[in-house]
Amino acid sequence: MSVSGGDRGSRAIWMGVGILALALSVGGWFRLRIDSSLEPLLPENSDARQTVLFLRDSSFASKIVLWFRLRGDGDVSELYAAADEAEKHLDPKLIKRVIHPPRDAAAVDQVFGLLDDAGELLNASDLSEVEKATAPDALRKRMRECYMQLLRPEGSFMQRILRKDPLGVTSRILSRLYALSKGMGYRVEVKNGRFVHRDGRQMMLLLETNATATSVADSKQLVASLRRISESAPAGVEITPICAQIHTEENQRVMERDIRWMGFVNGIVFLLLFLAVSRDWRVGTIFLLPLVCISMTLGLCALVHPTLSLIVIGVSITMAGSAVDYGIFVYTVVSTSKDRKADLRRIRRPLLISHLTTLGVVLAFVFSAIPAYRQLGWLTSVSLVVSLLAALFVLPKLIRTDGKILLLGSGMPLKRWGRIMVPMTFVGAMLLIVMIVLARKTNFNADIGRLDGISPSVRAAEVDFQKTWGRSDGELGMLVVTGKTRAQAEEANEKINNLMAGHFAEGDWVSLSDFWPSPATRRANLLRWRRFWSPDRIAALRRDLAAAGEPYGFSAEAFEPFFQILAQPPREDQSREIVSAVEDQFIARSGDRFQMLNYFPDTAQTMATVRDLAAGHPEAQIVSRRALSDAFARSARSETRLLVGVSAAFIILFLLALTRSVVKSVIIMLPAIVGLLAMLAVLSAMGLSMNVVTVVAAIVVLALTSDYGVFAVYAWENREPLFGQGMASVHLCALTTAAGTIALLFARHPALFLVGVSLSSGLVAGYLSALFVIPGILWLLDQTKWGKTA
Amino acid sequence: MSIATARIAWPILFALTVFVAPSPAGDPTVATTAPAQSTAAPRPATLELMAQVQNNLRGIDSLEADFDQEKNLAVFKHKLNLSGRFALKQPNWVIWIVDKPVRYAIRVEGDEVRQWEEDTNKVQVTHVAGDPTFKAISEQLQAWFLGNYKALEASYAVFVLSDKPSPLSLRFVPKAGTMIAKLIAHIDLTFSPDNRTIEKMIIQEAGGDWTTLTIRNARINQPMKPQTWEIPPR
Repeated sequence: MSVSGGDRGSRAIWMGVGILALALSVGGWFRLRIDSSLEPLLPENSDARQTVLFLRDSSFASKIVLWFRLRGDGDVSELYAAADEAEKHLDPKLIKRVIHPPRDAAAVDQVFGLLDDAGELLNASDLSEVEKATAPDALRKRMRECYMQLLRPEGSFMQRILRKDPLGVTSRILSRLYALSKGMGYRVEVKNGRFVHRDGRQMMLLLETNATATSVADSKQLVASLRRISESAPAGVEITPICAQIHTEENQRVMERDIRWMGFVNGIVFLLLFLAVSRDWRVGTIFLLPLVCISMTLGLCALVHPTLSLIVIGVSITMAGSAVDYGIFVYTVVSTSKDRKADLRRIRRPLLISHLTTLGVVLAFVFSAIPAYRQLGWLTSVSLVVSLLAALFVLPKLIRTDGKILLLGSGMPLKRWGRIMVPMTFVGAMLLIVMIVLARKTNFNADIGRLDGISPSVRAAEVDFQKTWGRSDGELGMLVVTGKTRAQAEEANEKINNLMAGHFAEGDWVSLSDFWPSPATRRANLLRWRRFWSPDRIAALRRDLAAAGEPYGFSAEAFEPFFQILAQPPREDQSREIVSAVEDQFIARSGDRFQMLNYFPDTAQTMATVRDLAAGHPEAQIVSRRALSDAFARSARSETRLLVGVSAAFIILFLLALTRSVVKSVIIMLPAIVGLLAMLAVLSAMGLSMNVVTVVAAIVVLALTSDYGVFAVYAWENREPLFGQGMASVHLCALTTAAGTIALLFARHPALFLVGVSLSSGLVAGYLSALFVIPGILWLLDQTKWGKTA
Repeated sequence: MSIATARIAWPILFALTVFVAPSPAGDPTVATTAPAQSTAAPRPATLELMAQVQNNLRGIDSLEADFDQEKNLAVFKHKLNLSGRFALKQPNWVIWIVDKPVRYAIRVEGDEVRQWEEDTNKVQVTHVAGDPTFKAISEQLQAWFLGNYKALEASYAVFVLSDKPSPLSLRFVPKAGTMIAKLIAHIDLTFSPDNRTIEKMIIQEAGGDWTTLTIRNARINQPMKPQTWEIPPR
C-alpha cells in the first residue's frame, strides 16, 4: 500500500506530538507529589474546611482513650494493675504522654487555695453581691445558714470553706470550677490519681498521641500497638481503645478488601467477555487506553501542578475509564471494517458528540470551589481528550481488521426492533413517572458518619462508651477561639463568653473564662477588690460578723482565715496549678497559636444561638459534628447546583451545535436523564440518601449513559441491526461498566456500597432505555411527518 | 478524631472524695485530741480479723438507730451536741435526721436527694449528680454501717485498738498522700459486743477538730415503717 507524502508528513507530525507529550509526561511524573490528606476535598473558605483543619492540627485532637472494664467479680485494684501494666507497654514513639488527673492530696490544697485568690477571680457583679452580704441583716441570715450547714453530716468538712467565706460569695469560685467538670458531659471521678467510673468497675487511661488520624500509616501503627495492649489484658479485665485512628485504619482495611474483590470480579468478567465476545488479545488495548491516557495526563498535569490529591487520582482514573467507550466503539468499527478510512471518518461525529457530552460534565468540575474537584476536572478533561485522540488515531493501528465479535452484525433490523419496542416505550414512560415520584422523595443527608466503614464491634464499643461515661446521649459542640498568644486567646475568649452569657440554660455553656478570667481582667478584678476592702469596711465587717455569729456560738477566731485573705497579697502561682490541671480540656495549641475551647450541647437550637452570637468574630470557630455536617451539606448543595448547571449548559450547547436538532438532542440525553432518575428512585426506595459520594456517582452516570444515547441514535440513523456496530458498542460498554459497578453491591464499606447502588441503578436504567425506549421513540417519530423531515 | 472521645473531663471536686483513695498509710499513733478509745498501742489488723469483721456484717440489709453526736469544731466556742436517728437500707437508701438542737433531715434514695429543715419547712430536691458530696456521704454511711470493709481497706490502713476483752475497736488511718489524709487523721470504731454493728465512731480531723458519734438502739434487718423514710420526718 503506498503512502502519500501528505500522509507521511501528517503522521510525522502526530508522532512528534505524541513523543513530545510522552516525554513531557515522564518528566512530570518525576515532579509529581501525592497529597493523601483530606484538605483538597474541603471547600475553600468554608466552615467544613476550618473544622477539619482544626481536628487535624489542634493538640485537642491528639487524645485517645484506653477503656478498662472488669469482666468478673474482680475489684478496682485489678483495673489499676492492668492500667499500670498497659502504661508500661505504651510505645513512646506513638504515645507522647499519659494524662493523669491531679494527685488527690495536691488538689485539696489547690482547690481550697482558690479562695485565697478571690480578689482576682470575683468580678464586679460578684463584688456587688459581697457588698449586699455585708449588711447586718444579711450577716444574721448567713450565720444561721453556716450553723445549719455545720450540723449536717458533711458539716465538719465544710468548715474549712465556711471559715474562708463567711459571706457565702467567695465560694462561688468553687462552684464555677465544679461547673466546668459538670458541664463537660462525662461522668468521671478522680480516685487515686486515675479517671474512674462511679461504679468502681471501670476506668480510663487518657493518652496523647503523635499519630494523626489523617495519616493511614500512623493510624495503622497506633491501632496495632493498642490492639497488642488489649490482647495482653489480664483475664479479669477488658481493655478497649477508643480513638479516631481506629476509624482510619478500619476504613482503609475494608476499602482495600472491597477494591481487591472488585478487581477480582472485574478480572473474571473481562476474561469471560473476552472469551465469549472476541478472542483477540489486542482487545486488551481498549481497556489499557484510558489507563495509559490518564497516566500521561497525570504526568502532564504534574508539570503545572506538582501536588495532586490521591483521592482525585483514584476518582479521575475511574471517570477517565468512561473512555473505554471510545475504544469499544472504534474496535467494533475497525475489527469488521471493509473500508477502514471511510468507517473511521464516519464514526468521528458520534464519537465527538459522545466525547463532548462527557467533557461537558467533567469540565463543570473546573468551576468548583473545592480544590480537589478542580484538579479532577482538569485531569479528567485532558485525559478524555487524549483518550479520544488515541482512540481515533492510535488504536486503529493496533487492531486487526478481520477480528470477530460475537453476534456483531446480527440481529433484527433496528427499525423492526423499534416497532416491537413501542409498547415498551409506553411502559418506560409509566416507569419514568414512578421514578420521578420516588426521586422527589430522595433527601440529602450530610451526616458523613453514614459513610464510616467501621466494624459493628467498634461502633458498639463507642456507643457503650458514650452510654457509660456520657452524662447524656447528646454530643457536645465546641466554639474555638484562637489567639496568637495565650493572653490574647484568653482575652478574645472572655469577650465571646460575655456575649454568650445569659443565652443558655444553666450548665449548657461551659467556658474556662467563667472560672478563670484573662490576665487583664484578673488585674482589674484585684484592683477593684482592694479598693473595696478599705480598713474601715474590714473593721465594720469584723464587728457585725461577731454580733451575727454570737447567738450560734461562733468563736471570735471563727472567720479569721477570711480576714487573713484580705490582709495578704494574692498568691498567683497557687491558682495557676489548678488551672493547669483543667486546661487540657479548655486550651489547645495549633502550631504557635493558642485555642480556647468552649462547650455547648450540639443541638440545632444551641448551634443557631452560638452561630448568631459569634457572627462577625473571625477568631471564633464552631467545631461540631452538626456544624461539620451542615457545612458539608451547604457545600454539597451549592456544588451540585453548580455542577448540574454548568454541565447541563455545556451538554445542551454541544448537542445542539453538533446535532442541530432539539428532538435528537433530547433523545441522545434520554439514557442520562433516565439513569439519574433511576438512581435517585432506587436510593429513595432503599431508604438511602444523597450525599457527597452520590453527587460524584451522578456525574459518572451522566457521563457514561450519555454515550449510550449517542451510539443508539447513531445505530438507528445507520439502519443497523440490533447487534450492529453502534448497538454492539452500547451492549459492550454497558456490560464492561456494569461488571465493575455490580461488584460494588457486595462491598462492605458503606461509601463503596452507595457508589455501587448509585452507579448500577443509573447505568442499568440508562442502558435499558437506550436498548428498549430509544428505538421505540425513534420508530414512532419516523411514523410522523415531523419525524420524517427531521 | 471524634470530638466525643477526645473530650474527657475530670472533675476537680472540692468535697467529693472526702472518704476515698488508697496508698501508704499514715501514722496510727499520731496525737489526737478526741476522747481516747484505748490506751494500748495500735497494731495492724490482720486479714483474718478483717475477714471476720466483714463476715459479721454480712447479711445486714437494713439498719435503723438513734445517735448522739458531739462535734468539737474550731469555729465554735463550745462543743456542739446533736441527737437524732438514721436508717440505711440496701442498696442505696439513707436517711439522716437531726432532732436536736434544730430539726433537719436528709434522704438519699438512689440518685435523688431530699433535704428538709425546720427553719424554712421546705423540702429541697436535688440529685446526686448535682452535688457529689451527698453521694460521698451516702456511700460512706453504707460502707461503714452495712459493712463493705474490703472497700474501706483499700482506702485506709486498719489497726486494732482493742479486741480483748470484747468489744472490738479498730482505727482506720487514711493512706498518706491522699486527699482524705489532708482532711482526716483517723477514724476509730468501736463495735457492739456481738460485733454486728458500730456503737461508737470518732472522726479525728487533720486540723485537730473531732466528732464522736454514739449509736443507740440499733435495729438490724427489722421491718421498717414507711414513715421511717418520710421527709419531712415525723
